[in-house]
Amino acid sequence: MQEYQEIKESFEKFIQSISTTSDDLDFRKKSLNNFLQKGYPVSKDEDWKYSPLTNDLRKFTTFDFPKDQNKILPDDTKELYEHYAVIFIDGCMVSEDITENGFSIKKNNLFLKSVKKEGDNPVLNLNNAFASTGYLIELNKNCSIDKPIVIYNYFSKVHQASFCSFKNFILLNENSKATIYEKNIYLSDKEYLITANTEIFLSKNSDLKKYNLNCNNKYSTIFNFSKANLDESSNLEFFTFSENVNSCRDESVINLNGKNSFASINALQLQHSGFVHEIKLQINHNEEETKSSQFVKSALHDESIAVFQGKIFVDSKAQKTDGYQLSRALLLSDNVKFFSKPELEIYADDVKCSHGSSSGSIDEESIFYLRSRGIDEKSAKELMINGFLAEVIDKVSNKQFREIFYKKIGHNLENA
Amino acid sequence: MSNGQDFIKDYNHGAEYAQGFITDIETIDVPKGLTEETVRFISNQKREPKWMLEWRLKAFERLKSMQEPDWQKPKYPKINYQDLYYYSAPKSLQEQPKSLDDIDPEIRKTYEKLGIPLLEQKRLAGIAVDAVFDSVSVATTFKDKLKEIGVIFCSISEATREHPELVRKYLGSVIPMSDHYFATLNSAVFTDGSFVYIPPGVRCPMELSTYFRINASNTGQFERTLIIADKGSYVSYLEGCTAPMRDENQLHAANVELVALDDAEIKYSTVQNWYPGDKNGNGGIYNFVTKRGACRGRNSKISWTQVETGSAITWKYPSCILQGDNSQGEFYSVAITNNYQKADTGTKMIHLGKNTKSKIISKGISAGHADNTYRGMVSIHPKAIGSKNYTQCDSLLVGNKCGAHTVPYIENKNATSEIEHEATTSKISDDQLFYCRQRGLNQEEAVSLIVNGFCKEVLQQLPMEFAVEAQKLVGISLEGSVG
Amino acid sequence: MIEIKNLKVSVEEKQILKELNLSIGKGEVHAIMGPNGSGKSTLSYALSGKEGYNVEGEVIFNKKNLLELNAEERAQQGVFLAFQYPIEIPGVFTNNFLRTSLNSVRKANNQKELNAVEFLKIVKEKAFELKIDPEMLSRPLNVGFSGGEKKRNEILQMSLLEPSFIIMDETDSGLDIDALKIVSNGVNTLRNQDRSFLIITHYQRLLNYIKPDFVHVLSDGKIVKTGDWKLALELEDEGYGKFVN
Repeated sequence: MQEYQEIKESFEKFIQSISTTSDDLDFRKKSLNNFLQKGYPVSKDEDWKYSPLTNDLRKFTTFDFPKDQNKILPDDTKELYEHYAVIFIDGCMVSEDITENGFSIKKNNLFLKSVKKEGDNPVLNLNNAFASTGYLIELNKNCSIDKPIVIYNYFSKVHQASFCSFKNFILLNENSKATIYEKNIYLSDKEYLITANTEIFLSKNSDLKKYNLNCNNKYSTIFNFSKANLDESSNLEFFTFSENVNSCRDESVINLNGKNSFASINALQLQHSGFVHEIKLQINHNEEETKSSQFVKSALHDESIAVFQGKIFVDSKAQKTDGYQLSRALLLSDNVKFFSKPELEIYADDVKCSHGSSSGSIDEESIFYLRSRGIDEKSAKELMINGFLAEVIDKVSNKQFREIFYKKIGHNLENA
Repeated sequence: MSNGQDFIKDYNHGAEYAQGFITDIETIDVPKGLTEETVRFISNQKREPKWMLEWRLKAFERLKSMQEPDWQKPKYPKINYQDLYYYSAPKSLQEQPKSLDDIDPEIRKTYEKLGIPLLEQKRLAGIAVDAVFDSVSVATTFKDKLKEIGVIFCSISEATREHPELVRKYLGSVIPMSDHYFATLNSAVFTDGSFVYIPPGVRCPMELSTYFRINASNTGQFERTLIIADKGSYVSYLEGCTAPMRDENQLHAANVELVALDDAEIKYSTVQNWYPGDKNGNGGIYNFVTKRGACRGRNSKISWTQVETGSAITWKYPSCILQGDNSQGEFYSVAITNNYQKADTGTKMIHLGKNTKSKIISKGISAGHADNTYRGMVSIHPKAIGSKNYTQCDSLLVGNKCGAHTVPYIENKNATSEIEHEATTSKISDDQLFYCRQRGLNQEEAVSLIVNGFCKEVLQQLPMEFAVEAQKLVGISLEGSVG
Repeated sequence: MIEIKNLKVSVEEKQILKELNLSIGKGEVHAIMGPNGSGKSTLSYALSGKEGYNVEGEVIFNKKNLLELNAEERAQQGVFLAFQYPIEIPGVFTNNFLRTSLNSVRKANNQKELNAVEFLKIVKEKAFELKIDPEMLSRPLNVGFSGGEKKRNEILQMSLLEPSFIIMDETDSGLDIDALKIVSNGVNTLRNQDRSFLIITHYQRLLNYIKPDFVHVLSDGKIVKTGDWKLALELEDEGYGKFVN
């Protein structure tokens, strides 16, 4: 096929331009071959049903790559509290490496720590073949980072490249603890492809809170993939806040491999215009006495479309699993659409698993109740929408970040 | 009074599949293989009008370019369609029996053994039965009595001859001929099934039911059923199915179409107890069924209730297309899989009309090495203003070698409509078991009691006569799975 | 002060209230009693402006026809409905809701809006009077509240908004004796010469605690009998049968 011919050529050019190990090169070639066998996913593929990417990916037939540039992060995207800042502008890491007592944050350009395993996810294969940027965060045993790490992922209006492929790596050794906030701010008005592949390893008793912000993407096509492996008694908390993001798939695979590990995965979609956003979650309970919770809320305005696919898988040896999933969508205009596929695949009998999914408009009884207390219809609706979204933000266990996200939906904090 | 008591035979503890006997009779068979000759042979045997043969041949043509679907969870060895018989009928039925008393005593005995007496004096009170044996309808009881009020209840073969205007109008109107591989296969080679027409304003005074029996070996059964409820009418229909124990897998590929016009209601219940295969997963029926109802009229209602305990593989999604404004669809299902049985079942509720409502209650029970999947779709289209769906899917696992899965597809394209979906998976708790046993029940009685409680919402949808027996069947199907 | 004239209400072509006439003077407490299905709740919704009701006639309140105002405008004018089943709204904190509501009403009446500190001071005092745990105020609105807590929350809102016309819809349903006393005390302290009450109830029980000036029997969409509070006792003894065909 012609389109893939061009991708092949882009790849040849790309590998000429990087200096890397033969191992890495091998893996990249394998990944590309895997991609070429199937090509871009289509909506008929069960894993890509409803995905906006099946249409949008086809635009990308040739790739240009980001070059190191001297650019400055706009002040208004900087957080005002104390934090460790890691700054990417248009796919290039512009901040210096940080090495402190007990942990390090580095540019991840050789991908020496990455898992070299091809999967059957075509976009992930493409990401692995073309990986060119990313971060590597490593915490030593017993290290507990006092300040949050903030990763700024800023895509500016002057961005020229057509393809950014991030590969990130987070390793928390035993008893370590970190909070990472990743801000993706998409301001470019070019159509480009952004893929990110984040691998997370949580050792025994470690604790990671990872908060993600996706804001304002109109033109690009985005695939954010995270895979987390949890050892015994480790904790993972995810929260993803997506506001007005078009053509984006946020996919996470969580492996609960150790007893008493716990993953709490939460997400919010607040969409306007005709934007399409997709969340795909798979939680694998691979060991007994593991626990997971998924909570997703979507508020859809105008002609926006939201997709939620969430699956709980329970292995036959994962007895005493506790798995919970809830997705709720508010349809706020006649022309919105909500698709969901909440799935359970269970092979152990002593489990407690449930899911719920609901979609509909704002409850009229509630609106009347508020209006009968003197609140006008518009404010009543806003109050309801905020309350609806606040419920998922409540799951954010870090107070400072909870308030950051409350503010983003305009939730009145004074009385809370 | 004889009632449905024997419909599903009682079992002794630990007894094997009681309906697994073989009736030894002479048959007329078509040569093996799926060919144009086979299609012509079937049509000819049924003395069908020409348009029916042409319809079949068209389906046969289409089939040539189609592929078997492979997205469903249960996988099975490739079926060699050329190695199957497509028609088998008792020789004695070559000429249609003039009266029920003329039926071959062997066949009559078979049905008596299954609890379905066909003789006038022994018939089930309040239930009219169409008995289908392999590829032909043996007899239909109470036909004349129903005729008096305008209700047509006969085999589909007879309907193509006697009521061509109705069959031509509605056959394939709910399940298009080339809907998918098995639907098309059925359209080409369907053999027998029931035809029901309820005229406007008539409330059918008795339960209509069809009893399907597969007897011949290596033979596919291709049931075709069509039920039409005209304006303001009501009918309750029930089907039952059994087959002998054979160590080969046999195919039952049915198409069932329901049409409900303005203000009409169809209640369709199934107690499916095909031979499930032995303890090691040998033999059993492949039950690949397409069932679909169209709520075509305003305020129409179609309600599916199914108790699925048999078959090696069950693969069916009784669905409702809610076209008429204010129409309603319901799906109540109990699916029990034990040993190596596999079930992939659920429903589709397609909301097209305004203020359409649907309700799905599914209970899946998996034991032994079995796999049980609920797969369903609820789709509310942009014009279906004010529509509502409620879905509740519960799974129960007995033992840790089995699987229970839930795969719902939910599509809401209308902001004034609501979809609510809930699902749970759990096991029979030790506390529940202990409580029952402390009150004197043995392990199996306790399991049966608890599982019946788990299924109650569905079982109570069944017509009274069958609810009791279905409850017994639920307990029996799980025998040997606990303890 | 409230003049209900020829009020007719229908829902989806079903006539529920038929030519209802009622006049409630300043400071008066009127009770409306009636069997199930007589249209009691419909009356409360029609007066407070719930959508989905087809309303004809006139309801003159403060020289305005209430029926021309929407729900929030009526509330801002001083009409308060204590709900039979207060609505649960997840994610909306009670405090936030109360302040938004109070400020909406104050704003509409050209009063200064309260800041958080001023508001909290007032709400805490009122909560204390009604024996409401202040912790309840930081929970989402009515979510997980017991039946008694919900009703007390209604009375708290009533005392905050200081309405001049209060409709109580089966406020006593689902309350135990202690909660009933607290709720009635709350109502009684709000009774004054400028405030009118319309108490809708099925049982006479509540009227032991809140003594009405007038009792009306509603049946089949009409007031069929009017009397003083003794009429309630009569109904309790003899049932509605006597007044209902």
